[in-house]
Amino acid sequence: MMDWLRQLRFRFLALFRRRSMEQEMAEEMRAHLELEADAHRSLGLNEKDAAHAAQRRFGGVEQIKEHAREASRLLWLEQLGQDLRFGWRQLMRAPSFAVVSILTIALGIGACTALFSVANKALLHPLDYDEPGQIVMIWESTPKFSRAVTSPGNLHAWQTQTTAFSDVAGVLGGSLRLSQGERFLALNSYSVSPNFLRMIRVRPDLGREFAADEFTKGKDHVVLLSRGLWQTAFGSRTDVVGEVIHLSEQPYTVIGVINDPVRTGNYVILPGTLAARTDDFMTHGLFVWARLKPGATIAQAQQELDVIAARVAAEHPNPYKGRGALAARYVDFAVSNLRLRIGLLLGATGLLLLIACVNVTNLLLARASTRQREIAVRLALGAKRGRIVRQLLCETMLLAVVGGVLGVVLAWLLIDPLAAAASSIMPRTDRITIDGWVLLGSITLTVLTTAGIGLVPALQATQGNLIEPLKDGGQNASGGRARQRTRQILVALQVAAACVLLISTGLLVRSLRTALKTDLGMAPDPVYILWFSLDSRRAYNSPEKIAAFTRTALERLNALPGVMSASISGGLPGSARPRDGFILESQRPPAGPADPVTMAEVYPITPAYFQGLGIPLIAGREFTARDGVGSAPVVLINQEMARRHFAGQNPLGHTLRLLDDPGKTWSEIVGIVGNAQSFAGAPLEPQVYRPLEQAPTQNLFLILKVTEFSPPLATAVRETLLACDPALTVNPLEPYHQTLARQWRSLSFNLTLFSLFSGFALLLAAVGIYGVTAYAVAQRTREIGIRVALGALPGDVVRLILRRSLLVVGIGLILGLAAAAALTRLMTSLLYATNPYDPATFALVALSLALVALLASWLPARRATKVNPIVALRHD
Amino acid sequence: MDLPQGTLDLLVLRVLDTGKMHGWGIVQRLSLLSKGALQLQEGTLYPALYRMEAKGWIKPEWAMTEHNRRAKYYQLTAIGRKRLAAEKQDWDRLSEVVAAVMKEA
Repeated sequence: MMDWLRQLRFRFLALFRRRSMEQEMAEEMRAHLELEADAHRSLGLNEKDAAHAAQRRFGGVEQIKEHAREASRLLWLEQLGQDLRFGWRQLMRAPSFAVVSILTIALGIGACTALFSVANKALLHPLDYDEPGQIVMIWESTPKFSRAVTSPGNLHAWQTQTTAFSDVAGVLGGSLRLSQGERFLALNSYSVSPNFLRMIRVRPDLGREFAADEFTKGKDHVVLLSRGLWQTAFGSRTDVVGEVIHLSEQPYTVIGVINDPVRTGNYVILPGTLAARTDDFMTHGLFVWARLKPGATIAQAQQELDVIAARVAAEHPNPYKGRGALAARYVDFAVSNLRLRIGLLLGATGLLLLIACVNVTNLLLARASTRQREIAVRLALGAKRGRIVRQLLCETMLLAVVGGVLGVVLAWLLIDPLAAAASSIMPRTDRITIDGWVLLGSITLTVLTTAGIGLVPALQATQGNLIEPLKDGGQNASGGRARQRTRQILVALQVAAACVLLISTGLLVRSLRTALKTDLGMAPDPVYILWFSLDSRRAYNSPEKIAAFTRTALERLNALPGVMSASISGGLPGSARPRDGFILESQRPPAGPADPVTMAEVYPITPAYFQGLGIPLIAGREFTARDGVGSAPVVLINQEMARRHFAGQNPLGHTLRLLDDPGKTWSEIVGIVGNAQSFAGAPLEPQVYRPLEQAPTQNLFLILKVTEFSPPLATAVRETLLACDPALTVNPLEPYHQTLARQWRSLSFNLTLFSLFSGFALLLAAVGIYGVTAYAVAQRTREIGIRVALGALPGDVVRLILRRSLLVVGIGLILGLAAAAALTRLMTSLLYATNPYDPATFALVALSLALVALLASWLPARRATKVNPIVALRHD
Repeated sequence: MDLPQGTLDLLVLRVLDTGKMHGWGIVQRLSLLSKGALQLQEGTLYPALYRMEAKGWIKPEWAMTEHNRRAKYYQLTAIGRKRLAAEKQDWDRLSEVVAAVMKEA
């Protein structure tokens, strides 16, 4: 054993001392000869005879040297070096083949890896909590809604009366605005109960957690920033701890920075005070998160919750009669159809990889035919089969390695832009890394394919007839036909795969377009919005002052050319939707306990709001200038609210009270307007509108309906506002449909992803078709030459080539359409209001692919017509 | 006479045990010791020497012969010495066994 190791070391080192070893060996042989000659001389022979005698005895020096050499070298390593050099030269002689192969491999590996890595992270990031399988969300289940948010009283019951959970915590969502100099930033806010951070097992990156006394009103103006917010808005400054920031005009002290891996966008976490109202069973709004104890099952938890729910219903029949509690695993809720989506992602990746491998296979097969003769010659000259196989393997490995390295580089380059595209649906905080498994998988697959196919010529040639390939014109022998058939089948497969990907993309495009056009009950197109904020500390500490401001501002804005209507509101569908609890007075005068408390979206507005957004008036009247400060409190409700809470009755004339209204006034319902949804497909919400002057707020939206937008108009609007009050914080004007489009982030992202997959697939398929057609043309050069010599026109030649090629593509298309029809059914959950068998999409894709294939085939066909018949006839 | 490789190694090591020697010298010595029966071909010897050098059993050194010719001398290394002892033991055992069987059978 040790001997072998020593030998290995010696031979390895010998590689570097080749020359000196050769010299030494030569000298040693010479010395030996001299000594031999000396011996002969001492026996009496003269110089020449002595030398001859020595030589004769010694035998062939060179052969001895050769034998001796074999003992002192690493033969296989040297041969490997030779093979590599030879392979390299062969590749250099066919540069376009080499370049296309390498690029195909690189593209396949790079695109697949990058796309999969990003999409996978985007898909799975909601599961980034520690032991996410243990996390459960607890909902109130009512006859009308299987999952509803709950009240602090219920939360407290669940916290104290269950044993299956290690922690139960409540979260109240909201939105706030961070003032930053001239502009402000919209943030999500999460007001959490004291044990929330412990439950999700996340600690602050910087600073500290909340202290126990910070969960009481008055001490609760502390905030944890999200990591993303800290990075983008605070420049990752470590001195941000202790800084006082203004959220929706209120001062808050920053106590730290935290990263909740599952929440997207910019957010802040605040200490929640709602959860402390443990005897409040009326105010709903809390989301409840809980973590199961190790060993506890969700069934156990559900049982305990059922018992509690029964008890609560008995103690508080209003509103808990008939309501229960539902425990649902977070992972099921977080990513809908997880398996399906991962399946689709893997499918798309697989298809792209398939196309790339098929391309490489085709290229190598084509090349194999060219090498047949060369290999036959080498075999005839005595080369060992094993050596030839090894050499061919080296050549293809060279391709695979270079392609692989490029692929990794490409993947690395693509990750960042893709991650940016995905940042809308994913936290921006962590740098996405290349998924090792996909990289390994795609590299392995392409390498195996390359190696496997690369061996085909060697195996074929070495098994068969040596004579055939050596014959003149042997390239066109029947062996070529079978291989031609294989190539054609492979092209058809590529086309089919590309077809499936393109149709999927087409369906997503259609989905998104439909989504963006959905009727939301509003006409967002000519509407532009901007946010602005009144500084309450200074001039706007009374409703009258706010009213005065809005009146002046609207007057001036309406006077601007191009503005059809201007209104101001404290909320906007698709953006900020302030929510509040309300109580209805079912009839006047009130008889019996008030109806259960429920939430509604509450919008303080100026009268032109509905006209601006295109929301129709259904019954009653809209607000007028007379509904202001000091007049009778009035509200408008939407159809959904009328339907839910006034079934059968006429709501007009009834009154309701909003819980957070400081005046605790009862407002009369004077009109019903149409529903304005901000998220298509989401359930309709009850909406309540109040005159802004009766419900003043500082954070406002300006809603402008314009005849035509232009940058000067935007400037004019901004200046007008600032003229009314220079201390305003004013954000830029934005088209309303852009605000609304943000809800389609997930769909947009899917679309981007699939577009990229399809784009690459189309590119690779086109290259594949081009390659195969070009090769077929080269094969038939002689035949074409004969035809031209016999009088064929260029058009005839082109048609000849195209006919074969398009037949193959046609078959591929049919296969692809059939496969797509079978598979797109799986995508239904990703689509929005689009038929997965949409004929328009199928037809469009088929047509486009056919055109691309036509172009890819036409180029080499055209070159065929330039063939000089004389040259062609001599070609073989 | 055709020697198996292992035996050749043993003989060469034995020769080198008595002192360092160059290739030609080894050939002459073996011829002498075997009373002319062993005429080692250079084509056999040198590969064997290089092999043993690779395994670390012998190490070469350039020096001047008595007639002032430069030649490559080989000498045993410590490993080579151990190897020689091992091979000799094996050989002794082998010849014992063979002789015993031949006598009795």
